[in-house]
Amino acid sequence: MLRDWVWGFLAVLAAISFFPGWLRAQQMEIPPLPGGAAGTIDPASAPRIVEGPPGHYGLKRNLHPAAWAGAAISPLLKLFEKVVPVDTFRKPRLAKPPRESGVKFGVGGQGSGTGIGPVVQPFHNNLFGSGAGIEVPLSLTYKVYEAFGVRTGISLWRGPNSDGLSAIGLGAYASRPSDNFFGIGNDTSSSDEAHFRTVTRSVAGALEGRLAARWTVRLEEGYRSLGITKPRESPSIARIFPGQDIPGETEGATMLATTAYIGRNTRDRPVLPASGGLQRVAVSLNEGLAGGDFSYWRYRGEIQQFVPVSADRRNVLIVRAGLESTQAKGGSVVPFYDLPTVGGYATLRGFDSRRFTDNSALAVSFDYRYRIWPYIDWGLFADFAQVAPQIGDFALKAFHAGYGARVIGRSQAAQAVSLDIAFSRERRWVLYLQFNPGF
Amino acid sequence: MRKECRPLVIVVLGALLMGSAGEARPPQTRALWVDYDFKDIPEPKVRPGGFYTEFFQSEFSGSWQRSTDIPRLVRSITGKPEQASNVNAWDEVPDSSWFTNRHALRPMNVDELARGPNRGAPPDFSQATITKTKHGGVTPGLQITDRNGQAYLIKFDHRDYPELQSGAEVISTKILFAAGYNVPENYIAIVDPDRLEIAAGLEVGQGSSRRPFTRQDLSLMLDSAARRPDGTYRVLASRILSGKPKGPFSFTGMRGDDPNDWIPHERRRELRGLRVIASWINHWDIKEDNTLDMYVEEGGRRFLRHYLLDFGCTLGGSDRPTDAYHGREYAFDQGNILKEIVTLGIYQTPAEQKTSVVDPSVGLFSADDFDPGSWIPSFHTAPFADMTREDAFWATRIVLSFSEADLRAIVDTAEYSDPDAGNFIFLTLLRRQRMLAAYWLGRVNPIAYFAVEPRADGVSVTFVDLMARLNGGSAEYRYVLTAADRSCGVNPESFVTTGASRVPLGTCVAGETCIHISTHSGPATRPVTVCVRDRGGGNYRIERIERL
Repeated sequence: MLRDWVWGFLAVLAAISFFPGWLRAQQMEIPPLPGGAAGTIDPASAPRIVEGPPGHYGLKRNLHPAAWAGAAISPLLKLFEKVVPVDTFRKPRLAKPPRESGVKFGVGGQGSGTGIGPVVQPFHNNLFGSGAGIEVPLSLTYKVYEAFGVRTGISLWRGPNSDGLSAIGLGAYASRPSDNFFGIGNDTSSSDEAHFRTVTRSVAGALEGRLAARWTVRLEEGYRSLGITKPRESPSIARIFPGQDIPGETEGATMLATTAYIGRNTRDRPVLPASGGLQRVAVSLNEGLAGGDFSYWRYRGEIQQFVPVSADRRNVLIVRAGLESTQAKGGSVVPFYDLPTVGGYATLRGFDSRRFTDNSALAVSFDYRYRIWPYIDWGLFADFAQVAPQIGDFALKAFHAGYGARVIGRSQAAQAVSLDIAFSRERRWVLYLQFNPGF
Repeated sequence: MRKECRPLVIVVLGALLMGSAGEARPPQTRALWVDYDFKDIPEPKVRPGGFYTEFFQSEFSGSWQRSTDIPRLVRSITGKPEQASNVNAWDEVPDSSWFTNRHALRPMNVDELARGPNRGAPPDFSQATITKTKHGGVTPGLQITDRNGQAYLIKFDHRDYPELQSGAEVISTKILFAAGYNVPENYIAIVDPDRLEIAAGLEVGQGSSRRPFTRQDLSLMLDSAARRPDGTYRVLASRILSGKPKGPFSFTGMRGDDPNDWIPHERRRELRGLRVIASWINHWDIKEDNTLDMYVEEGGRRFLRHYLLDFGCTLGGSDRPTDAYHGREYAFDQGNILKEIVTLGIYQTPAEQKTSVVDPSVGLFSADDFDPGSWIPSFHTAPFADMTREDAFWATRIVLSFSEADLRAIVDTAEYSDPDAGNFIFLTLLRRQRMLAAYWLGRVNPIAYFAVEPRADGVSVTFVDLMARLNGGSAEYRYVLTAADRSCGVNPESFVTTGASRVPLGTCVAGETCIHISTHSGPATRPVTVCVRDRGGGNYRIERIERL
């Protein structure tokens, strides 16, 4: 190809007569090149091309409001320069050597309405030289939502193409000062907003298999102790729903859960994917050990598909659908805090988090995301969701809808932050800030 | 309006009306070839750079200030934009600490062009020591000291694009040097990592993560670099400038701690005309961070010399082939962003358009889609926005001063291993040179290079019609003389039409005689006024050239 170009150009060149290095002024007494700093003339007395600096130039510039804005923001920019150097946003040319141990720092939240805060995650990928790994994610938001955990894993078998079988141990502590509850059903009123607080401690063991680098299969056995206490925000559930028998409202529970999970992940990247999809299904059997007659099945299914509209994947259509259902085992009940819910960033933007609660929940979302600048995406979305006592009770007319637009800042280094503004019949506008959004 | 707000509003309105610019410059009459801004000055402080500050200044506050500069807007609408301040009587830029007239006015031979700014011996890395690591910029680099103790900053080509960045940087360095700008000495050199030593105490990383720089770090750095079959690496070696670095210069305003700095930078013709030269070599990465003021000592005086740096992002290069939008879209192009938003991403910006890399060592350099008038760098640059047609004409003359042989000699210094790569760069430069000239010459009266020619039948002023030369055709000129001595056989103050690029003044010229020459080969343009004076004894000289 290059040779074709060259010959093509040579043909063009042959057809034109071109400039020689010819034209020089001769009559303007151009002096020879000055030696050093303009030869031997004393610059102190030498003439200048202008009489002096222009009068009031600085004054004119500095009177302009733009100069004031610049002066006001300058310290902030300089601070930003030190804290987040511009190279942070560039794709690193040099691959960093994988670290065996260290601490990862980030910023994040714990769901809609929980605020944001630091996320610190010490890790070690080769404990005592055994090949076992450990991560200790610690998250605390400014609204004092706490989540501390530990995850250990050791490879039992490793095959080609990232296949393998691992044994995993999990432990977690979570304190959520205030979660929403509006009652059970698809037609609950937003004026019935109540709150509850949970403190959860859990441990679990799992066997996880990865197949063909895309499929994940996991079998997990977990123990969970959940306490219900007075919420930070009032009113409480007891005040809004007096006398109603809401399972689990007054006390916590200790549960044993057995979960089977299978998932397929073909997304091209975990943050703001542009192609591929995510399909996952989980079934769990939950048995109450103490605190109430809780025994139920939980079914979860989720599909996400990312369809690039343009060949360069700058414009992406995203379809997400999630279905969740619980089914009590003969005579037992499902605690209200474990019932499927919709509302909030992940399911139904424009509504409060956990806005609707019932035994079954269905959510469908359509997003159109398009690049408007190498570092900024714009997006439009429509979310539809409903809850119902059973899956068969879902109805087309029962969907709640939220609409909105989003702007996403992204770096070449695969970091992103999104700001979604959603509108619904219940809330005029709701803003969602999300770090490293998954869609 | 509340009373307490009135003073503020008056100040703001006053600022808008006064504008950030000043009064229009009267025609320059100073017959100066050197603007002596080399006065001994106290050592200035280091001017802090910073990407965010510069980005905010160039893309937001600066743009805002300029778009609300009412006098500037009025001048622009009425076709009388503010002209450059540092232009002498012959419509040229005098030498200064910013610019030195070189190839266009003081012809350089091909050896001089090929040598460019390089002085002395090339680097000798047969034995060298790494003394610093480079973190900024798009390319990893090292500062190393060669066998002779001379310090160089070396940059590696990307392993997938050997010779791309180093070749572009060497060629552009030499073009910009010959054009007249201060640039560093940049060499193509070979480095053998086995012969590199690491200076004691050299560290890598920042803040708390600082640690000693090791051979493993060097190996990691070299992993992404283009390696030659013999295990060595071709590098771009940039000799460390002499003097003390004092930070980048601004493209607007003046440096407060430099008493020599009398001309607002946006009014400097060499910075305005740089837009034309930059468009030629597609130097889209022009920004403050790629400039440097050096506090130098020359001729016993200490002053600031102003450099352009880092030309790796020129021609088709960067660390990888440059993106298609460079030169056609701002890095933060508010207009295109708005179009993208309202069309739901259907509008296709230059950044989205399909292009193909010609060759790994050439990158994305083409004349096919080159539009000299709409070419823009990635960041708003005030002198570029203020460039007048006269500034562009000045720069076009510089661009046209490079002949085929000149360019061939310069391109050869890039030492491309594939001759076709060099040929492609050379031919693309020639094509872009011609396109650029056709565009800018078509917007002014394209006559230049005036000379007084004493003949037996009297004195004549000759000139060259650059557009006619470019097109290989002829043109018609209309001229009138003023202030000529009627006794010398010339009929003044009546228009004469001629097809010759020669204006007879008669047998004698008493005092100052001015000729106003119009060209009829292209769109109507202003006449050029050339004034000639007899200094006695038949010694005729051009006193001044006016294009306004």
